[in-house]
Amino acid sequence: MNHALRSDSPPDTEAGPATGPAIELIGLRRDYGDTAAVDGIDLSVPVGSFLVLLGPSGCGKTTTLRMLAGLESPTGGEIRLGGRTVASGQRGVTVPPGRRGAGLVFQSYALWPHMTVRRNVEWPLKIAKLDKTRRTARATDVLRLLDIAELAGRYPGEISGGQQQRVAIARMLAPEPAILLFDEPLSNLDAKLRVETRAELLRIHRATGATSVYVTHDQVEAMTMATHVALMRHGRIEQFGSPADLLRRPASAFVAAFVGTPPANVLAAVVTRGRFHRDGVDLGPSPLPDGTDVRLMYRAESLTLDPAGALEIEVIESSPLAGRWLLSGTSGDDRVTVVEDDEPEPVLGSPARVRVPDRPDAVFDADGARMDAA
Amino acid sequence: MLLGAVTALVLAVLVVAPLAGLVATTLRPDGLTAWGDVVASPLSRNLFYEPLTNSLVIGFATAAGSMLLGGGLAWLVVMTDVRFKKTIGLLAAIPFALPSFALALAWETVFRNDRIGGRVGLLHGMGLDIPDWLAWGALPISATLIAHYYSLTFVLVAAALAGVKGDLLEAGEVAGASRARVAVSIALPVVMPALVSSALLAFAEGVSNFASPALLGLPVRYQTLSTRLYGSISTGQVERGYVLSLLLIAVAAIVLFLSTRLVGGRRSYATITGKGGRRRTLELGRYRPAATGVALTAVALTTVLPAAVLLLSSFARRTNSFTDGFTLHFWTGASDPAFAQGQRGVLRNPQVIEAAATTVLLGLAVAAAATVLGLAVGYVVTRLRGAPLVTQALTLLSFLPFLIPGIALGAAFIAQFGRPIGPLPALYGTFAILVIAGAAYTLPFAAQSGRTSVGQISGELEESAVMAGAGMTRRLGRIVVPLAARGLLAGGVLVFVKMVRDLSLVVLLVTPATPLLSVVTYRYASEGFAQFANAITVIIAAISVGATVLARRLQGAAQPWVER
Repeated sequence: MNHALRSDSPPDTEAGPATGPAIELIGLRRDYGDTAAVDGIDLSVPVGSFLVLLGPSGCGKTTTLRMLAGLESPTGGEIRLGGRTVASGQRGVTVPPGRRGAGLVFQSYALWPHMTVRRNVEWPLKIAKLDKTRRTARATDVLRLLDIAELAGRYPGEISGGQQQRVAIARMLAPEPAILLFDEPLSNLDAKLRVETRAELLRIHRATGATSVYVTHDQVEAMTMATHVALMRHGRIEQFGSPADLLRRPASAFVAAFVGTPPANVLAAVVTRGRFHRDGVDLGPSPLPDGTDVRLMYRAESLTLDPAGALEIEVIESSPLAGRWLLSGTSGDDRVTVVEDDEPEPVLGSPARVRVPDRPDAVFDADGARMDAA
Repeated sequence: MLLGAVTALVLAVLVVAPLAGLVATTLRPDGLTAWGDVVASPLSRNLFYEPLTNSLVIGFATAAGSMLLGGGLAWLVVMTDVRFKKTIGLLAAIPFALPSFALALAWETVFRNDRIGGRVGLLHGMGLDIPDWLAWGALPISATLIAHYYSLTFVLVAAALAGVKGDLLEAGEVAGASRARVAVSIALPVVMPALVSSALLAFAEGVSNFASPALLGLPVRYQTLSTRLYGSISTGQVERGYVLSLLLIAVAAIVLFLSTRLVGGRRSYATITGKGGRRRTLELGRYRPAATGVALTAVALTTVLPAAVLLLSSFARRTNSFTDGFTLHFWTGASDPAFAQGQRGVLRNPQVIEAAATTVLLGLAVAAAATVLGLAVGYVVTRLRGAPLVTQALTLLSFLPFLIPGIALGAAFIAQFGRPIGPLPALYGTFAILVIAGAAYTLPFAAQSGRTSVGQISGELEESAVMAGAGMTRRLGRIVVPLAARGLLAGGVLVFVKMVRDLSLVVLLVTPATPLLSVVTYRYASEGFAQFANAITVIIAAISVGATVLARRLQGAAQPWVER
């Protein structure tokens, strides 16, 4: 597979061979007037990583990706690709997108509707001044890699969404970029195709040996695909680490409530008489001083339904998951999810009681910052 | 950035310079006297106030008539089960492509009476007594303008109504509203912007139209602002003409300004359309035959009938008489002292042949120039978001000519380019000034088509070319232009047709060195050679309609990836 993809010639880019981190962001920021879309982020990933920029809409992840691609310029900080500075807010350096050795798959795929599939893939090579024979050979290679060789003569309007997606990926891969950028590439596919394409993308990522950056708001995609996740919020990185890091040691209440299937429960409480209390309900001993406002994290698997449980919830939904059952309810303004082995008895809309362990899985302060040692 | 600056500069020369010239001229001593004459002197009544009143009356009548006729037909065709929808839709879209003087000439051919002597119309010739109000002045002028401009209202309103998707209306019905209630509460508000803006457009056109009042009013001294303006300049009272131009621009500008104020806040309705779904049509029941009959009559009266009248009368041996035999003389005849003072048939007349060639050439040149400008404006305005000043200036400049009636713009071009500027020679009387004036005149249409056709190309399509390393020229040439081709071509044809049939802009600019069909027609008509005028009008109509048909073919060929 590797041979089919990497032609004999070195990649036609100026990024050069990678030494040290493949991607480095240093204090990167992008301001629009008074508002900061990206508010000073730092991260660094090695060659071959699969970096996922995760976060809710408006968190700055797409802006970060577009700055990596070179479609937008940072107003501060620096971007280094393979050790080379390609954009700097202070020094005003901007290497144009075509010379960064990066390829981008757009959310809408952005296939040129007036060019056939083959022309779509070949045109970037023509701009890169490859001769006709090499262009044809290369295009044939990537179309075969993506399993769409038989669509070569069709126009984008004549193929399905999933096939368009493959063409967009083939077009990106053709110039052999060292960095693959994906802007929510699966959001326009149906659920089944999405799962299949996830595996396909990982296969391509491994086959090319390139470094990938992938933007999504879907934490499942992040958890299944990433080697590195940067969970973003309000233009900053809330937590950067491996998927396991984020799941096991969430740095904030926001992270805890964002990742995981189901995500962890985060309940507001206050310390009184050396114990955590939530609306008068005793949730266990606390080492913190009285009067402290806290957010207690309990994983769904740490909670159980129990008629004698301390916490009362109102059941809102229950769904099967991998042979077990998820039951969700509300307690005050917080959502509570419990994992049960058997189909739960409580009726939707009726109250149920939940047993809470003595020690929460994590404790955050009122602003969501972690208080106990992670 | 560079593209933006260059485009802004070109627009400034095209639009701002002539206007500045116009204003500057009227501020010299002669000009100031003219202001006094026009606005506050014993002459004012005749020079300004009466023509203004007449213009406003015609404008109101044109707007109201167009709204009723065009809006009503659009409603019938889109929302009801009226018969022959295709035929009605096709015919209703035609009058706008025809020269506005075609209908005036046809009217004259039928209704002219003997008030001013000379030839008389068909009906009078058959012994009927045609009252003056039916033959001359406000009624025939308004009627012919309505017959011309309702077409625009029809197209705009029909498009807006078609944009009201079925589920939007069904949502209203599900909520328990009656069909009529749904029509009034949902459909009407959605098409209101189209209705109001097309009515005000018709008003502005009615106020400033030249051809109809010149043919149906001027002979009996029924003056409007535009005929007064033309009269002043062609009789050497240039400053008075310029002052009238400025006043005419002011009237048109106020109307259009009000229209954007009125419609502007509602424009967001245009984007409120539901998802697809078939629209169920209103069943007319027993009114169906009557409605069909009324609609067919209306479109026939404004297209087939005038065309037939013009064509037939161009063969009439005796002017405006279908009973004294027919002849091909006015088309192909050699010089014969017995006919039309020895003039040859239009197809043998070198002046007409030359005018036809010049007209087509002018149409092509202006279409090409305006399309390039429109593309540049569209590209800069939709893509250069980083420079709001440039884009705002371009938007403003490109829509400014919309406020300037053709005849006033012609006057402005004479004021600015009529004499040498520095090393540049005077352009008056050259082909160049016609092209430049034409490009300025049609700029709003070209810019609009440029904006919409570039605007509908998703930014990501171009960004993906940026990612491939393509520079701006390459992106324009390989991505933007091919994808915008359909819209640009349609815009280009609109410009071509507008130029070929235009009289008001060119009537002041044309000299014997650069004859144009519309001006030749007007001259023949005002000299009483009805058959020649009608014959040439038929030629103009044929060119316009031919161009439209050809453009449809070309559009199909230009984008093979569509409709496969």
